[in-house]
Amino acid sequence: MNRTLPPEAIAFAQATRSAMSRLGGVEMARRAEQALELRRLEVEPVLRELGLLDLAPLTDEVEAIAAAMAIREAGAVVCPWPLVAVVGCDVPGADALYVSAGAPARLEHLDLAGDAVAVTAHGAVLSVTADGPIAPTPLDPFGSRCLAVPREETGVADGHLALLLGAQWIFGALSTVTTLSIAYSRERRQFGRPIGDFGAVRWRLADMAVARAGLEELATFTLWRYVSGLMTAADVLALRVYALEAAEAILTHGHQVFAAIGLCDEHDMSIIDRHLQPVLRRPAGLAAAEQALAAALASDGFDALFPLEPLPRAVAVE
Amino acid sequence: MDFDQGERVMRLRERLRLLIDQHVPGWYRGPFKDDASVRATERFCRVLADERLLTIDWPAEWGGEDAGVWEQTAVREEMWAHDEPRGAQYMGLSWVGPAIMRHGTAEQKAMHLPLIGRGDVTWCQGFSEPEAGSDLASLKLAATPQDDGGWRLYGQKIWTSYASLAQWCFLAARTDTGQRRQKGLTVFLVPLDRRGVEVRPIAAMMGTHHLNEIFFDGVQVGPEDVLGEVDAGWDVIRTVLSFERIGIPRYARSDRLLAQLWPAVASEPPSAPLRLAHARTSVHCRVARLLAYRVLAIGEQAGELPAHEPALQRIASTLLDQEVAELAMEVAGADGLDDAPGALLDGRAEDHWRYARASTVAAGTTEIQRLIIARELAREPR
Repeated sequence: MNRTLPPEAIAFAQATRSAMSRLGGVEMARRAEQALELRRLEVEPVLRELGLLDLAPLTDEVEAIAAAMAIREAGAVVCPWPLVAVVGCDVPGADALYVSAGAPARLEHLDLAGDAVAVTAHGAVLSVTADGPIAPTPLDPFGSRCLAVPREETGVADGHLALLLGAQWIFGALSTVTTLSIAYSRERRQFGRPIGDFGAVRWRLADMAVARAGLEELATFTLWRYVSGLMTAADVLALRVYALEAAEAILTHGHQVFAAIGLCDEHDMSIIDRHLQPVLRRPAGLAAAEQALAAALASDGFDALFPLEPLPRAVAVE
Repeated sequence: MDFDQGERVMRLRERLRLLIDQHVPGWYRGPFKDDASVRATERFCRVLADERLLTIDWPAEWGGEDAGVWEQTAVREEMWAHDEPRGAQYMGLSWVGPAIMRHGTAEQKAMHLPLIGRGDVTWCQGFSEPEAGSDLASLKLAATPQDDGGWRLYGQKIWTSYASLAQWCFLAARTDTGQRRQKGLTVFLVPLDRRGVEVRPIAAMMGTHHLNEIFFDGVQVGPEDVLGEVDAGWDVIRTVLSFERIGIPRYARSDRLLAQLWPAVASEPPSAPLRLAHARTSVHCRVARLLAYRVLAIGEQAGELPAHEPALQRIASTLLDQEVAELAMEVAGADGLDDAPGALLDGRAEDHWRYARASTVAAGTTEIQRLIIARELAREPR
């Protein structure tokens, strides 16, 4: 039992953190929302210089861990680039992979994704192209409508790597929200003392910390299952379910700690919340993730102290 | 990075499960159920002692095997998953013995450790008082100095597990009433057959033998009964608390129950409410176990733990206990009220549910755990 990450992965994550800081942190996401071209002009050169877009998580264990840790750092500032789709693409010949419930109607950052595919819940691979320019909405600031057609030359895919990396991204963003909330609870004073002195606020912070720590451990454990060749659909869906639960808890508590200021775009809380929504809602939300997990438990079983055994196929298929 | 605990731990688990299968009766549901259950734990402790597994985590000097942290964890998990067939002994083995090793005199070690190591004696913990629950440092049980250099004990302890079975009490008392809070406390090792001790069981939903009151009416204790230094009992208490880093591995029993519930829920469609609840709870169980491993790994590497790390895992683990209890009762339906063999899970649903009622209260309420976390978070660098 050893939770220590490879030193190369730690170093790469630190380099990514520095690069994100040089880009301005969450401010980069705020600016890119107003000027879409900044993603190519400012973000892309930094990512290329880092080598983040060239990592090979499919073939190299250390690079897989490095990619996951770097994506946590990018998620921590909701970096405006389709990093999960690009680094998590495991369909040969494609540049980016989006996991989708069915044929997607909208996707984020599609203009940066090159030859992109969407992988459906049933494993079908679709070619996706933007159907017009980015049409921002508050909760999908880099989304555009898209067209999806079957990709004849490609077989089935599962999108598990993208889901695994997506959870790392979510962890990064939620970790920032937690840290910001703790800091704000010490700065903001009401009734003559910091709001963090009040029990109700303390309890919210504690529950945020539990969710953050739980997601960190599960995301790391699932990453280990991936690099060890053990990761099943049930493993990655379990991570997806917990990431979505943690997001609901941390974002809800965070907003209550920040109150009105957390709803304003001048504050990072609002930017992170809005920019995280596409990752939380695509391919689908918590209810759908739980259903997918319940089905996967039947086909894969579930590793535990007392493992759940896979069901006979006739029973597993509803 | 490697979450595999290795061959050695896996073989130990297999060995323990085999022994449990061979020597723990199928009807056993924990030591609090009845006297027959207590006898079953005594027999099983003798089996473990013969197999040199009872004190596997003790140093070789005291008959142990110097087992590493992950082997210790495997023992604790397997025992708790199977309703703690060591019964009351886990307390003596897990922290009374180790505390005596750390703070005891040569005479105390020679007297107590062999008995604890063989499972021949039962201990209880005399910490909580009617006015000192979560606020342990406010305890008042008075140790009044006598001319002969000893003390007389006056006061009451409460919520004391196993007191009706125990021969000895690991007792915290106030020797210096002029001091407040953590100062002026002393730990005494008190035989419960001493004149002036009265144990009264408290009828409670967790079962016979679980909760008790102990009254001390002029009980005489001497310097030979003091563990550690007089007036420095808080140091001993801190040692005890540090042995209980993750507390009971509650997630282990939840884990086993989820596996036992699996056949019942798996026959439902994946979209059925209980099937979804089982899936969700299985995730929470994995998370609770990983958080416990995080605490153990940090402790193993760094030696010292930030106070909030055990609290994080305790919250996850105790809430899980109740979530699994509700799920088990939901799956069982009205049959869940039956505690007889033959009911769903042989009455395990109702047993776990009753016990889980206490999980967010015992050993520090969820509210106290949250305050510990928040206090530590406030120290995080900005």
